[in-house]
Amino acid sequence: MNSELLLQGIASGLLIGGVYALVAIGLTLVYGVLNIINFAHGALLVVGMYASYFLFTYFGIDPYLSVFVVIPLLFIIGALSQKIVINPLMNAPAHICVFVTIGLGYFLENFLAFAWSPEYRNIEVSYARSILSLGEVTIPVTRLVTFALAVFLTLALYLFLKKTDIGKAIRACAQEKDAAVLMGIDTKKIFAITFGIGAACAGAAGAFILPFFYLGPYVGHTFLLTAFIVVVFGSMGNFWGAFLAGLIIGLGESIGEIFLPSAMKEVVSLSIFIIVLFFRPAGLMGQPR
Amino acid sequence: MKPTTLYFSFSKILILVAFLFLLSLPFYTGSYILHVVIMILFFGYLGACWNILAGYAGQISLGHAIFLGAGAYTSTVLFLKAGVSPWIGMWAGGISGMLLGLFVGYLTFRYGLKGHYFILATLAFGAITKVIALNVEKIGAAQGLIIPFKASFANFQFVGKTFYYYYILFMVVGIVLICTAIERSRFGQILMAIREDEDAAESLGVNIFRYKLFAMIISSFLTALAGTFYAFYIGYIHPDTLFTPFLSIQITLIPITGGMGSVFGPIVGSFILSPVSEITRGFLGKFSGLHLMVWGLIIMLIVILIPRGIIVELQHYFRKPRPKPLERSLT
Amino acid sequence: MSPEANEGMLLIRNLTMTFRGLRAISNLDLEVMASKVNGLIGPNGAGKTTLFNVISGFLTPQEGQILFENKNLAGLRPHEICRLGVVRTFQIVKIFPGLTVLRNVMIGSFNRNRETKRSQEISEQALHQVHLIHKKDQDASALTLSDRKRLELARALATEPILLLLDESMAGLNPTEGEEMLSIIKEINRRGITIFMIEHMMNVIMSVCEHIVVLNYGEKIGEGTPSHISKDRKVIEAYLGEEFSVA
Repeated sequence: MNSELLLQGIASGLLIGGVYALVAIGLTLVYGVLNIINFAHGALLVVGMYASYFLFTYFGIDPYLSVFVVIPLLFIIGALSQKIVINPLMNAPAHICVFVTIGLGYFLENFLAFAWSPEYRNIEVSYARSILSLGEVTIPVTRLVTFALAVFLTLALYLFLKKTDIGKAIRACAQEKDAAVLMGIDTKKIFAITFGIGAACAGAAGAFILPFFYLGPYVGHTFLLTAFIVVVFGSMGNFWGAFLAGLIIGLGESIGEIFLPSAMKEVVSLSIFIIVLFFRPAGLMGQPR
Repeated sequence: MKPTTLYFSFSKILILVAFLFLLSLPFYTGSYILHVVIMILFFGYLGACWNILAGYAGQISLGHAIFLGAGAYTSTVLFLKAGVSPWIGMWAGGISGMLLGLFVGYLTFRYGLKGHYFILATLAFGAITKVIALNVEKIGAAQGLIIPFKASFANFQFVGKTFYYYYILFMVVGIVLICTAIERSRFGQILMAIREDEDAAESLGVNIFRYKLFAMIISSFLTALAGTFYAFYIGYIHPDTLFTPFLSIQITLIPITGGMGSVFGPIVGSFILSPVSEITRGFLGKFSGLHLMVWGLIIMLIVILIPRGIIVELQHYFRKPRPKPLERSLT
Repeated sequence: MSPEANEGMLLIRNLTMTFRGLRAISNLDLEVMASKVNGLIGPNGAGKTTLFNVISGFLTPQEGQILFENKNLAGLRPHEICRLGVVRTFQIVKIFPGLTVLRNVMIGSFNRNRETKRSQEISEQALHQVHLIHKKDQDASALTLSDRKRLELARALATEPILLLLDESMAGLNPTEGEEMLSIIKEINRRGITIFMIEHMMNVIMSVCEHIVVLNYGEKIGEGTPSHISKDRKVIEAYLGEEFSVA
């Protein structure tokens, strides 16, 4: 096995890992604050993708620029969804929220199937075929830009959480909800906002991958499963854990693809998941019981 | 008569009437209706099996389809490759499902990983199983397996639907009896305590790991048993039907609708949900995605409006009377 | 089950419990005296509930031993510790809301009884002891806080324990309820069960406990009879604020 292939694998793995990281961060944030696993996360990603597609096809807006629309749009969809559908269930047993988000996911992705028909599509941006050569490694420009933007967004989100008042309120809710209430934080509002942010992360990721990934209503499923794995691997609720884990999973998949038949690609990330459960269930950042 | 007593007497009569009706159904309906009811009973059975783990013990599995699949594949492969009669194969299938459940349960329960971890783990195992099943040539890989039709009792293959119908009805009666026994036993009570508050239960001397694992074993075994029924009734098994999260979720929606943690909840749930699903598909199926969109909406509504399921909500509404004295312990 | 009189029932030696670098309990040595009502006091955050969590097996200490009936409890799982005869209540009451009062208690009685009939008898006895028998078929979720605390107590009693760890049984109770709870606890002790209780209300502790341990910042700063510790300067400084005289 030659080193060129390996280097290529590492490069593409890291690049897609950035996307996984962004998606997972949205999911882990929602988990950390609302304590629910959002099964509609994949669907929200696809909504973002379709929104971007719509803007590209009808207005010629580049997907990377479309995030300026996609992010607020998904934020609103997310916040509204939380208010209407999830809020009534905040005090119900945890699994109830699981089912409601499953229903939400079905609703969203099938809305897309209905509105756009379920066929797969592709877009081609003008620079779709441009590549960058770094020594032996060739990197499509689109993947690089996607990675860069995903990381940028991650950092922006981190700063938001660290420096702004709302961000601090969110972190307070994540750590200790009851104390947050006592300190006068409007937890209901924070829940809606956090869910909106999570949706925005997913949607942004969707827009970012549109240049090189095929579009279809059910594309979110694979991303959802990968996101779950990344979140658990990175310790549930942990921001940087999700980031790190996203990169690692991306790497693992990409390198695994070199050795395994392509149909078995998922086996790598799934195996990592099982191993994590076995040896370190609390994830990268946590402590086993 | 107080509304409580009225409700419970009424429901007992209703159950009896319904059972007699179901018992006599093949005498005055045709093949199509029988098929529909067979599938309703089938899913009711599956829902009830899932309920043992989720409704009583509180462990929500979103990967239960893998047990069904394991049972189906085991008996089918044994039949096709070794000529083993499904009557024997179903027990092998049950055991393979049970071993799978043991594996999943052991990994997740042994560190006391609760709730969400368990849910995700079941999903992941479902995904892995599907990938494996799609890629192993010996068990048909992506083509699936076809069971050639040759009617005989030993082959568990029959002309017409009547035998299958009574068989699945019998399985439903069986699961109802099993769940009733569990509910009344010491084992069942402890499972419910675990569901309500694991830590409290543990502090009272309950070995929660062992009990959860046991519930998992029972649930996975019983689910896998139905796999053989499915395989030989339909005659064709495929990873895309048997190992999908969609099927797992379908199974869970039935007790969710009808009532988790109740004996008849899953059965009632299936009788309600299946027609709803059929109707939406019938009217809206031609518009791609629309019926599933409505389906998603229905799920959300059910969960928001009747979170505990119809039967349980009704029970609480009519305020359960003095519970029956506990019967002899089962474990 | 009557324990040997005056034998050190629970001996804690050199116990240390650390959370991510923070020492919640440091090199703790203490004794819970058999057949007596023992008290555990200390300012908020002193590590009292943490200590209970360690003793009952919900936490594993990094160092030290918890000796009970010649066995080291450290590292055992909570259910094993209950089997050995140590049971606890929780600071925030943990009942089984979906079960009836009686069935709540029966879960406890299953600790030592497999047979349903006997379990029911033991459970009803326990409910009598806490004066809740008249509500035995009610949904536990419908109970008031005071009733819930007594339910939790009955449930613990049904496990037929040797040592009972009570975490702030009085918290949230009004004076009448508190008095009733106290008399129930005294009666439990009179029947032979050793009690180790965390409590904030000084008059309660001083009046009912025969042996008191004082914690502060995870360390023991005093141990002895009520009159002894009420005169201990370190305790007074840390906790009582002024000299507290016991009749």
